Order: sequence, then structure tokens, then C-alpha cells
Amino acid sequence: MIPAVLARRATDEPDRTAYLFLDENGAERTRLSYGELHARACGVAARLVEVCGPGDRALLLFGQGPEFVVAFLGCLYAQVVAVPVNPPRRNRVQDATRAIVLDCEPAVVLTVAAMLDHLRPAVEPLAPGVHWMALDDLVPSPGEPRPVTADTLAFLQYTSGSTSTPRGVMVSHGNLAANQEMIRRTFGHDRDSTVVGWAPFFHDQGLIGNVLQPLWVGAASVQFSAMAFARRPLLWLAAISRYRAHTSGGPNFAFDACVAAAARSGVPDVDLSSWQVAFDGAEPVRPDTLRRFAETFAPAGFDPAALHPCYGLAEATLMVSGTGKLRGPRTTTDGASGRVLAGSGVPVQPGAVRIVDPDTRSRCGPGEVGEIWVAGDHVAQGYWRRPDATEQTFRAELDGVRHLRTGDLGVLVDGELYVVGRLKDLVIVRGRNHYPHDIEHTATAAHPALRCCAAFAVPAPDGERLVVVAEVRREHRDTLDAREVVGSVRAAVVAEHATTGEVVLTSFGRLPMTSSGKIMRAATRARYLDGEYAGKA
Amino acid sequence: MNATKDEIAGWCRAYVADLLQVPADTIDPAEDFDRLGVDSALAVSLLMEVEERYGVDLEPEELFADPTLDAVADHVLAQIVSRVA
Repeated sequence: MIPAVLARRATDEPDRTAYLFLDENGAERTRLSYGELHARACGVAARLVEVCGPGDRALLLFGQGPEFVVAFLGCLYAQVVAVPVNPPRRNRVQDATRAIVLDCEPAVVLTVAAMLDHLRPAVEPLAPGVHWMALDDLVPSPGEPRPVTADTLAFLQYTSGSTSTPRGVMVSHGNLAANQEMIRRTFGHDRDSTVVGWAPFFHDQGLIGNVLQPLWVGAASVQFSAMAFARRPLLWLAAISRYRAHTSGGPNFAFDACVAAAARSGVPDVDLSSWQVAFDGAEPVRPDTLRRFAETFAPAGFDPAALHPCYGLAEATLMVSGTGKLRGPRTTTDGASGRVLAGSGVPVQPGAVRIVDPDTRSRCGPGEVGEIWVAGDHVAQGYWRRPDATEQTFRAELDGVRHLRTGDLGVLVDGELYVVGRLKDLVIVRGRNHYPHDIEHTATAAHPALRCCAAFAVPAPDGERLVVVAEVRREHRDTLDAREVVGSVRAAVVAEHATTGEVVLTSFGRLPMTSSGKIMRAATRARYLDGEYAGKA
Repeated sequence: MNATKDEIAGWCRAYVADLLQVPADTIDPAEDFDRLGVDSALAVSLLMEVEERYGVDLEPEELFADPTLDAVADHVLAQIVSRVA
């Protein structure tokens, strides 16, 4: 289990580097050794056990820095359930975070002193009596972790934060250990396999892949912020080169961003020959992206076989399938559409992925497309305090074995998993999942003139983009300031979900609904694509 | 480059309009980025383009303190002027 791994490393090699944090320009800012990390985690745990007991929740509100790692491991040490969430944006706590607070009922909020004043008035009314701890005030101490078993709940990974349906995935220590081992084998990691990353830590790829996997194998983890990457994508490659990284990756857009940056300012003077696992996951993998990246960076020593598409989801801790070290990406051509598909690798646990007809719940034949179902020790325990959703998603029976329904559609060809689409309503922009229901809720509440909204994804040149169709109330149709309404919807969506999209207004009655008043997203999307919402509302 | 504030703001408008796929005249340069639908990814790509085009170095913190196209144009102009002086 993770706590014992850190405690052992702190004893055996206290001075070895565990984490290195870089600033916006790639300069080293903070270094954490195993010894320091252990002592600081013990310091956090010592304070935690004074105010809460095993199984209580601790909300983690941090930017992308060492404080998050210390706080997270401190929680594991104290057997307190960590709940990482998006830090406030422009000093404003998002509604999603509020919904998560109400859902998980934290006993403690862990943050840094600089953020505390903004957080307190927003969070306190939702969690009366919650204890506040600023990491800056805690001192390192000797100590050891509370013992845990495989069944002990480690943390909650929230995948949705809307008021009506927050979904906190319950990840146990056993899940964590199992998936860490699967990632280690797939990526071929050992203690010299330095990992470079920039995905946010409240995101499963950042936490499980970039923070915990290096700790698991005893390798150094070099981290910088997603904002620094967005601003200077080539900083990523420079860090890989400088620290001789073995493994580094991101969502598909990140590879495109590097190609675009190199087209603008030239291929940087870097040596990418150490890079053996360039994982591409968290959004659909595009064959063109892989080809262009390999071509662009071959002169910098990049090995095309290092490209490593993978597939996963928080409900399976993180990783479900991966290409395998230096095996190289696979492609196939979809017979029906002629579209070239990139594979997402082979299941990280043999036999753990099944393709199933979502309606009959029976196995599809070889080469048939169906829903991806996953079994194995990495499948999480369920959604926090949502027994119905847990039953539906985590307890699907097949051949007498309990499976996770991913809601994604795929096919297995020669053992390789190809993800071809999805059953669930989801919009993926820049590697972040957005649930249409959440966005519709935000958009509708953004302006009193709106009656209801439908949010959905449509194809874009580099992946997919978000569209929101908003229906205007009958009594507002003559007095409507369209620009004002659209601006309010955009602002609310950016503020809550940190993403953007096209906002289209339509008149009363033009959003298709079921007889019970439920919005028909697929029908709205079809109408949008047919151009039915073009022109004036 | 001999740029005026209007020219810089106009270029920013056209760039953002293109990213958002809307007509440039619907973009109010005095409006907050959020209301324009400019999220942090778009804001950062605007920053990179502006830096490249005008040869300036803007801090993201400056951009986010007053997130409007007018303010971006002011920052760019101030840097160009101080470089010439």
C-alpha cells in the first residue's frame, strides 16, 4: 500500500529526490526528498488525528505544488479520506466545489494560508464546524502511517460536481496498489524511470499517473503547472530532455500543441532519446496527431515507438489499457466508415476488458463494437453515497463476474482495444470530461430569460467542441437582449467549468423534450447539425 | 512596429473572433473574457500570439487581473512605448 511504500523509502533512502517542482520558466523551485515528504506528511497526519478519525473526509484545495502532495499523503497516513478538488478560480469557489462539499461532508479543509481567506466564507456555511488547516502552519514531525488494508478507502475522485449528481469515485488502497502495479508493468518502470508531468493533481491522470506512480516505483517525479504548459508547450519537451525522462504524457491535444509550437518557432534544441513512454490518454487518440508528432520530433531523437496511447477512467482508478513500452501505436481501419482508428493498447490486466451489447448485456462476437466493460482489482468501490448509480455502473454481471460499465464503446481487434465512441453523454475538451447535465444546469441558471438548455459535443478539427442550445422563455421573447444573455451563459460556463463553447439561443418550444419534460440531447444535437438553430432566435 | 491601441485591440478582436467562430463585431473589447467565452486556454493562446506578433512579453497575471481586450492592448502598447523610449 502507498503509505508503507513512502515510509519504507523514507527510512531506506531519505535523501533521494521524490518530487521536483518547476516554475513557469522551467527553473527548479522546490525539491522534496523521501525523508522530507515523510516528515511533512507525518506533520499533517499528527494534526489530522487531533480533529478527525479514520474515514472522515478532508477537502484538498491546492494549486499545482508540493503542498498538495504533502497534504494528500498526510491524509493517507492518518487514514483520512482525501478529496482533491479544483482550486478557486479568480478567488471564486466554483459551484461544483460547493456541491462536492455538501456531498462529502468534510471534517477538515486543507489548503494554504494565501487561499484561506477566500475559501472560508464560501465553504464554511456548507460545512459548519469544519476544521481549517493551512499547510504553511504545519511542522514536520517523526511518526509512521496508520496501518491500512486493501479495503480501506483512500480518496474520493469526483468526476462530476453538479448539485443534483455529484459523483465521488471511492478508490481504496487496494485499488490504488493494483492499478499502480498495472501501470508499472505496462510502462516498464523501475526506480530510474523519471516521470515528467503537468496535468492537474485534482485530475486522475495527474494524481495517479504523475504523482503516485513515481512514488510507487521509487522514481523521481518532475512537475510543473498546466498553465505553464499551455503557455509554452515546448517547455514540456525541454523538461523531458533536461531530466532524461523515461515517461511523460498528456491528453491528445498536448501532442498537437507541441507540433503547432514547433511549426511556429522551430523544433527546439532538445534530446528526446530518453523518452520511452509518451502516453496519450484522457481524450480520443487521433492517428494524425501521433504521425505528425513523430515526424516533427524525430530530428530531436524522439522514437516513434515511444508513442503510447492508453485508455482509462477514474472509475477504474486510472488505467484500463496501454500500448506497452516501445511496442508502438496500432491502427485499424473501420470497415463501415473507412476511418482510421488509433488503438488504445491492450488491457492492463489480461482478460479484464469485455465488449458487451449494452442492451442485451451479453458478450459481443469477435470484432463487434459494444460497450467496454472492465473487471479487476483496479475497479473502484462505487460512487460515494449513491447506491443506485453504484449499482448501475459498478455492479454489472457478466459470466458471474462483477463488471464496471464504462459507457464507452469499443472493439477488441487482435487483443488491441479501439475506443470508437461513447454511450454516455459526455463532452471532452482538452482532456477534461464535462457532463452535459452539469453544463445545462449552469447555463440555464445564468440568465432569468432562459427556460432550459441542451449541451452536447460536436466534431471539431482537433477533437470535439461544446455547443449549448438555450431556449428562451415565452415572456422574454420581445424584450430579449441576445448578446446579454449569450454573454451571461458564456461567463457562467467559463467560471464553473473552465471551458468554452458555442452558445445558440432558440425560441420557446424549439428544444425537443420527452413527454415528462426531459431534454432530448441527441435530437437537439441532430437538429443543430442540420442547421435548424442557425439564424435568429 | 508602429502600432496604435486601436490597431492592437482590433487585431485581438479578429483573433478571438476567429477562435470563437463568431463575427468580430460581436466582440466587445471592453467586455470581460468570461463573458466573451474566452476560457484560460483561449486566453493563453491569445497571449502567445500577441507576444509573437508584437515582440512583447506579457505576464499571465497581468492578463487575468483585468481580462479584457482593451487591457491587453494597453499592456502591449505600454511595452512597445517603453522599448522605443
